[in-house]
Amino acid sequence: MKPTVISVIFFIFFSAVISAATVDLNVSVSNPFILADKQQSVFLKVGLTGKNLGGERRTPANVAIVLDRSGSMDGEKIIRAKEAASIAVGMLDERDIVSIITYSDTVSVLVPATRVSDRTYIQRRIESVYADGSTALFAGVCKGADEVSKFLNRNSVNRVILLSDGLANIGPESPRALGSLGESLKKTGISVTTIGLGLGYNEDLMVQLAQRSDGNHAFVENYNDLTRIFRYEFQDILSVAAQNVEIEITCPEGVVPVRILGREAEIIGNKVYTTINQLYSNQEKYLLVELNIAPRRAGSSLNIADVSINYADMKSRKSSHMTGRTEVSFTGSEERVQKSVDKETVIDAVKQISAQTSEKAIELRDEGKVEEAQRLLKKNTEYLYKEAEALQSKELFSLGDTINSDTEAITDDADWNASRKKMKASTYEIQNQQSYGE
Amino acid sequence: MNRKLITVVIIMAVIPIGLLSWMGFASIRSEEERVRQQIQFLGNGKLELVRDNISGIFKVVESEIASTFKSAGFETENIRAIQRKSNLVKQIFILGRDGFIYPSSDTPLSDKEKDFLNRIKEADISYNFLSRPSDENVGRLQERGWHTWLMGEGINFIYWQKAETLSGETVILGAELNRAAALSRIINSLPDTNPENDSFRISLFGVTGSILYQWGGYAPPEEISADAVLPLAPPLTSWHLSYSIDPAAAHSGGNRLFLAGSLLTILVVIVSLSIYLYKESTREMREARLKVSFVNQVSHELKTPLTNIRMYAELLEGRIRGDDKKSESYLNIVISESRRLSRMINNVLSFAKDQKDKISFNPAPAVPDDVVKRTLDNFSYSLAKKGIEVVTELNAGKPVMLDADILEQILSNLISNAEKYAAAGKWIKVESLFMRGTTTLIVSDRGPGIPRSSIEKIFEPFFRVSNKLTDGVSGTGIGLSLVRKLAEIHGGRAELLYDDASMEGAVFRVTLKTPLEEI
Repeated sequence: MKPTVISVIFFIFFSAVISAATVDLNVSVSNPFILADKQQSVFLKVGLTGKNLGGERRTPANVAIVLDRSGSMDGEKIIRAKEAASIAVGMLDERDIVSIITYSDTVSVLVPATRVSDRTYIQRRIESVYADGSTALFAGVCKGADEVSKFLNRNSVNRVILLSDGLANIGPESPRALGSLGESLKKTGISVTTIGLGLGYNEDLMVQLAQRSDGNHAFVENYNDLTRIFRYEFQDILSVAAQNVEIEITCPEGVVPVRILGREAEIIGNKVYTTINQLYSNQEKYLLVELNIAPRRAGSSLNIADVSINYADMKSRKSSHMTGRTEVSFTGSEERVQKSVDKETVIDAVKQISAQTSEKAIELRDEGKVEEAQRLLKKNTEYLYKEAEALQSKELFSLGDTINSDTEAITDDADWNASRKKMKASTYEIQNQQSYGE
Repeated sequence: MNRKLITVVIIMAVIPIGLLSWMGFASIRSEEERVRQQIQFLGNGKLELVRDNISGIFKVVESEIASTFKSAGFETENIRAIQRKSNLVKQIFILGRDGFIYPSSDTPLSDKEKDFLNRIKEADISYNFLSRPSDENVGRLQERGWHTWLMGEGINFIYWQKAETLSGETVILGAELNRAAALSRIINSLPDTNPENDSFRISLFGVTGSILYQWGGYAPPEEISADAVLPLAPPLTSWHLSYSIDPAAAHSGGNRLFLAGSLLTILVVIVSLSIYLYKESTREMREARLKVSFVNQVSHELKTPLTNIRMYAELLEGRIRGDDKKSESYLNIVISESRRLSRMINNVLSFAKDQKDKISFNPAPAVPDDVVKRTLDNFSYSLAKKGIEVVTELNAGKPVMLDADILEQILSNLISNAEKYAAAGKWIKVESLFMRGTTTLIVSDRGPGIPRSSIEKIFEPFFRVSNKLTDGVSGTGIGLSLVRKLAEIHGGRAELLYDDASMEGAVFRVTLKTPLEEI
């Protein structure tokens, strides 16, 4: 009993201290009690939640809206895209900086980075956009990021919002190249949110770009939803509480980080590093690490991870530092182990594992192994239902339903293009803990 | 006449037009060549600026990496921390003479570091390889530099420099660039497209020949090669730039348009002038032709009644001969005039036939002098009435193969001409001669003669020695042309003999091929 009490006290103590800041840090483990004398693995979750800055205060935005105006955007699409961009600009004010970039064969900086004091002018410029030509996506993102860089500021949300409906065909065009660009931009402090419109874009490329730059991704099949997605995105942007979050996890001897679920991270020996560009108000972003723990005798307990966080606090406009830790206790009682399970952490782990499985299924399907892919998804569904049952989680049930419908969709050749985009987007939503989607 | 006129008009029009077009074309060509060279020069200049700009970016990158090396030092954790923050460097490494000091597989590595070690195997780099003497500096080891190799989607870049560790060992510090980040730096140093006024296109091509970045509002057609091409400076020598300008903007329209415009104007003027001249000169002919064609139609209708008139007048002549001098004189006028009329009709009909190449040639045994006498007989009354003396010198009294109708028509026309135009000379001489199968006829008068310049033209149909001579004398203008034509049909010719000494009178000579009658 004693270790539990200590850990609870520990937890309360840390929570209290940490909550004074703009960010809530929550370090938890899937199994606070594990069986003694046995090599086992647990999931460590480092959760971060931004808090409301309070009152009218919000983080200023420094946003580049990059619009695909290639020939395929002609008609309804470009009209809706312009409308959505216009509405988004309408959500900004003098505190914010915006730029409008369009691309087709070449890139044009329609509105260079400028303070949003004359919305009408910017909206008129957006109105002048017409569709025609190819898709110089890479260069469009570069120029967008360049505009953002002009006013790059640790205390504002630096973001590129890319809207595209087609395959990049001028300049680098591979998911890997765009991913590398995303990685470089993330290090600069710029995230790229990618919005795929219709069924013609390359979802791998768009997801890679968003993922590596820590931005959002959405698949918009119905053009009428575009405005809604833009609204979500801008709500997100305007609710940023902390930025440039650096997470460093150090494990003691006998505890080995094996793999990361979801987010990109680096494991070196007993250390794990990752960064999160933005934390939004009332929205948790987390990192899940699978740890291998060496056997110990019953009754002992072990601090399994020291977590160190550095971030830019949007409220105090200063760099802040935070630490957290969590421990496991070893017991001989199976029942004890079962009862102590941290449901929230396990649910998150199950979601991440399921997302990873879905990705694997997409890969198999891409290789033409349709049946194998379907089998995998069936297994995934069963896994989700089983865990949902065990954890009594509605969320997992509904996720199981989604994957179940994916099991059907993966064999349907006619709708596979749309289904793939949908699956990619929802997988990414889970991995990125994104607040919005279809 | 007609063909000649057309030829003259064509030459008149075509030569200047051709000359002008050639000059215009040549001038446009040389102008285009000049403009092309100018564009190439301009394009090269622009591309050199872009190339230098990109080289500048790489210089900045070099110094940025150098300062990264400085802050990274040699301590692994520190290097990792620095490279986690760098948006340009993908992987830093330390290379000793015996291999990689960092990242080294002797210590725990991240997935990225392991990837790097795998990747770099293909690049085959080593301490000695990187610091080998450069091509420019033979024999001297390099202290720093770029190394590029092709892998994946394009060029991979490494910048390296030598450094001394705390323990005094010389090592190579290297950094593999994030390719996308490097390209992004380049792109952001280059302009975007201003849709309103750009009429060119500059493209940056990668090692595979695909476009990495381009700007400028002009989209050159794929099949047209660029106006200027330039490779980049090291380490990007496998990339190149191209420059194309919108031809519409390059040739600034002005010069070309002006040239084309003036040429067109001159062309139009020349052509319309030629057409006017041609029309003017052929108007009379066309009018006469119309007249003949009308007369031709009418003549057919007139021929029968005229023949009847002549026949009955001649019958009547036999009856009243000697009895009534006055009636006889009237009748002679009727006969003579109706003969004249039938000659005219014959002329018109023959001419019309000639136009259709339908004049028939029917040689038959006949004595030329008989035909001459008969013809003169027909004219005797009207010539006598005008007081024209007729002198004959006839030496073709043998029967030969002859188309009497043709001979009569030739002679009638010549005598009729003399009667019409040379009545003032009051004298006509008709000579005939047979010699070696050829009958020659010469008709001379003492009239005003024919100007030298018109010698040949008088044989053209509808040509008339205008003004004074023919004033007041009516005629169709086909007589002499018919004479020549008929003579040619008869295997001979008709010509106007011209003698400088005697300035007055006209002498016509007609030769006909008339073989002796074969018995």
